[in-house]
Amino acid sequence: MKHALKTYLSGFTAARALFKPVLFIYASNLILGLTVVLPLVGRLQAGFGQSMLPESLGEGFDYTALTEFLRQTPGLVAGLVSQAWWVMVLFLVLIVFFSGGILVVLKRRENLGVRDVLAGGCDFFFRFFKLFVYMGVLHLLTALVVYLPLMMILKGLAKTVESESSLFFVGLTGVLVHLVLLALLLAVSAYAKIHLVREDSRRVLGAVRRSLGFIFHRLGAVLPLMILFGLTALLAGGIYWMLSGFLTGSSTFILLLFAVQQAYLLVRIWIRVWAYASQSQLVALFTPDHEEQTAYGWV
Amino acid sequence: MGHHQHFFRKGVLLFLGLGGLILLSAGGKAWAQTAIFSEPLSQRLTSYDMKVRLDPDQKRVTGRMILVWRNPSNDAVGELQFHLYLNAFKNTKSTFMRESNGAHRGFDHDGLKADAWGYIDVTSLGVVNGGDLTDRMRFIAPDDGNADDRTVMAVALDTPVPPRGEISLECTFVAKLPQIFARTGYADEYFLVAQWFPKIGVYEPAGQRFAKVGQWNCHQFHQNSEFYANHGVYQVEITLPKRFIVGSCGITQSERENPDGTKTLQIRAEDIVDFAWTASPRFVVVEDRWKHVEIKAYLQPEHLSQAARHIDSAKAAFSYFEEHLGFYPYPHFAIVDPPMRGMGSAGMEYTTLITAGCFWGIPSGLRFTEMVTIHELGHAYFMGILASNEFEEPWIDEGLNTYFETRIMDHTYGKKSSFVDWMGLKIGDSESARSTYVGMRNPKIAENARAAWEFPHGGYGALSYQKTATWMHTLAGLVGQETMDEIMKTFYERWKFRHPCGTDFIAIVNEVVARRQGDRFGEGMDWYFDQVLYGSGVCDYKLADIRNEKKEPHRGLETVNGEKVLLKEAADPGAGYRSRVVLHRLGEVCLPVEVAVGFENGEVAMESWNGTARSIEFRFERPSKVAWAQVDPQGKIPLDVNLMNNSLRSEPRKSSARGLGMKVLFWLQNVMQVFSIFS
Repeated sequence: MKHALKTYLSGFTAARALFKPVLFIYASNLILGLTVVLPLVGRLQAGFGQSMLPESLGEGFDYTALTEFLRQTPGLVAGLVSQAWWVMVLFLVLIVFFSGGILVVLKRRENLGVRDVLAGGCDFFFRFFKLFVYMGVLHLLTALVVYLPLMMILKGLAKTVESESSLFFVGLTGVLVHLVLLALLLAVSAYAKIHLVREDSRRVLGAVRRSLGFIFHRLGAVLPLMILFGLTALLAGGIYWMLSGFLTGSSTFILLLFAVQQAYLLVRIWIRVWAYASQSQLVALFTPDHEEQTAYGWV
Repeated sequence: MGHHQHFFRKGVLLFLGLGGLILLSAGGKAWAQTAIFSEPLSQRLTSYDMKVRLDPDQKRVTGRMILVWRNPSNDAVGELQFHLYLNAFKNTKSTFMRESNGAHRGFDHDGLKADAWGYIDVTSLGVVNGGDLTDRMRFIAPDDGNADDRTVMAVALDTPVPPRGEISLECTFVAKLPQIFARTGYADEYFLVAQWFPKIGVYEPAGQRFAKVGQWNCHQFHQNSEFYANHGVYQVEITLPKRFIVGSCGITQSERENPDGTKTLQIRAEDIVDFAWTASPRFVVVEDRWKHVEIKAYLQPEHLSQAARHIDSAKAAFSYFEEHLGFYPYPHFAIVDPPMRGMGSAGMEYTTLITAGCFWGIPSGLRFTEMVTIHELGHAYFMGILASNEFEEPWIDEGLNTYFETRIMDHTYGKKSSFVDWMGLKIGDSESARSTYVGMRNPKIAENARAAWEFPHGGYGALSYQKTATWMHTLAGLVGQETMDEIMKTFYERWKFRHPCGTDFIAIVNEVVARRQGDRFGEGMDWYFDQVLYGSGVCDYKLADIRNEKKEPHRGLETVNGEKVLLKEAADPGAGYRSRVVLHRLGEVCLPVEVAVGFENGEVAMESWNGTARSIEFRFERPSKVAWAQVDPQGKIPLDVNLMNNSLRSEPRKSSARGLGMKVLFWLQNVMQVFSIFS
């Protein structure tokens, strides 16, 4: 716990210096969103025309207005979903790229500009992409391993149990098991990236193995750190929820609400970079080289 | 209200005071039956006296039945017809299974198991103290001629039943219940015993509904059809294992335990159109009371926390119906909560017994349970008391009932959130009903006024239930809610415990509208029903155009002293605008509509249009421009299938699209970030 707290705090300091790259990632998130939403707004304006009915949609949920609009604008949602899907894939690849750059500059603790992040991202992109593919396969396998048996169990239980609550709790248990495995895989992926960068290694599978070993050997630090970042994300979400609650439904504060939403998204990206920083330092804490010991004041 | 209390007091007094004793032999013991009502509420053309035994292992009900049928006509009736509904589930040759392909309300019939099928065998039939009729029984298929359908049985009599006379029949039968499917059957040890006994059809004398001459009205069981029956008295003695808890359409008057581990309940019901019962060892019974009505909810143990949802919604419905339609005369009401594997029997009505439906842990903002409870309770009126023919005119019972369901839901839980109010999602029940109708792929697929089985290419549900409810709301919008309430109250009072048909309802609409509103809508409202009930067209009015032109001086020539001279500038009409608002009628349905026209200075003008022409133009000369215009600004015509084109601003307001775009942007960015954790 002590190590987790220590790296949690020192990671904060390290991440603070990475504001520009964080802003850059946020901007790419926003721009990709806008590539979908700006044409959508055009289509919405064309679809709304001069009708007064959809005016309520900008302020709150109105079932009749929404269903009427969607009925009169066939294909809108399908088109939106299709575009959103490609944008999500693109952002995913961008994050694969940026995470390499972020970890490189975190290792160096100097030259923390966007250009350095981009250069680092280029260096590690193919290794990280390979890792992403491996981890993607593992995610799929994990989902299959959890949900196929779960479906069979639920199907069998549906014929025997008397209450649907039994099905719910069995289903919930399955989902919780999957969430634990998901968290483990996400941690494996993060620490594998750190190992790849620290060792400038090209052996992706080796990094995965070392990552697994690190997680299980240092579970007393890895798990609390994970929980701390989970709580941090929850805190950020709670603050956003409270603020947006004050502002939702009022056209007067619509720009303020937009600003709060974007600030929340920016903070979430920054929390993720902070997590990388803390995780990097946790690895360094348990396998430090001299330079790192000096830099973090551990000698 | 005073009348109701007196009426009820008399009934209870008699119920408690051992009035009208009828003695029946019951396994060697006498059963003292107590009448529920001091005076019959209906003609009581049928009287069933049944002794039945449930074998839960074999899923069978075996019984003996004495039926007294009274001939309501001046005809000598030489043939009787019976419904044998359970034979719909005997095999895939039945009309029901052919039409449904073995699926009903999303539940598939498990055709692979022999035990899943159901049937009814009439093992003997004869006239009491008369001849045996067993070999006279034959199956008929009056609707589709399907020789393999066994759901209607005809029996020729040696001696016709004389005009206004009666006949007593004795029969024995075996009813094998199907695995829960389409309203009836079993799921483990839960039994919903419905449509389970040989039930006599309705003999319609000349003049009743559409009958030109006296005739049997006894339709086959169809995928979409429900039922039609005379009001009658049911005396039912049920024997079953002691561990079962029983709910029924009637009042349990006695219960005794037998030496063989069974128990026998003696149940009586009066003035209802059908008798159904349920049994399960798992039921937890929650009792409550609304005025004179004892409400019993037969709940699954895992749904006990939702008892209040069932009972409170039932109470809300009783109150609303009493205020807006009429008195609920029965002193009892049962709500049955089917188990998880018995959900195929959820959402069904038998006047004084309904099946609702709920799931463990369902959030209180998802009001499916309340909606179903209110809807099924409403059937106590629409087809229970107002015993319309559900086969031939499903819109009367389902449509008028859905109209009341939406009114009660919106009144009780809020107009825009009565059906769903959960996590920011708000859906009103009446707007949900309208959306189901207007969202049909082809809302013109059929007229509303078709028999239940005459929707071969779809539309039965949306047209019978939701379109009817929507045009009922529209009718209320046109004639006013007070007039509408008077229509419904008059309909109830005049037709309770009788068999109204569509034309009877329309006649009352015409009568009440004429009485309250004179000839405001012309001679009667037939024009309305010709379009919305007997026609298949849609209603769609469009606010097509707004034009504003600054007033300009008139130009050209005028004759002055016999000479043509140019108009002088003095002809300047003054400051202001000439504006035009153009409306189009896109649909086939013509309704009188109101139009609100708003000007930039805040002034609002109301115009009205009879809605018959294909288009109309309203002209205004005002100091300021027309800023907006709206057809049907008060939402009186929910029947309009496109509300997007009902309004227009002279200048588009872009903020709505931007506001919605902002929301989509936020959620898209969120999803991108969440998705990126897999990087």
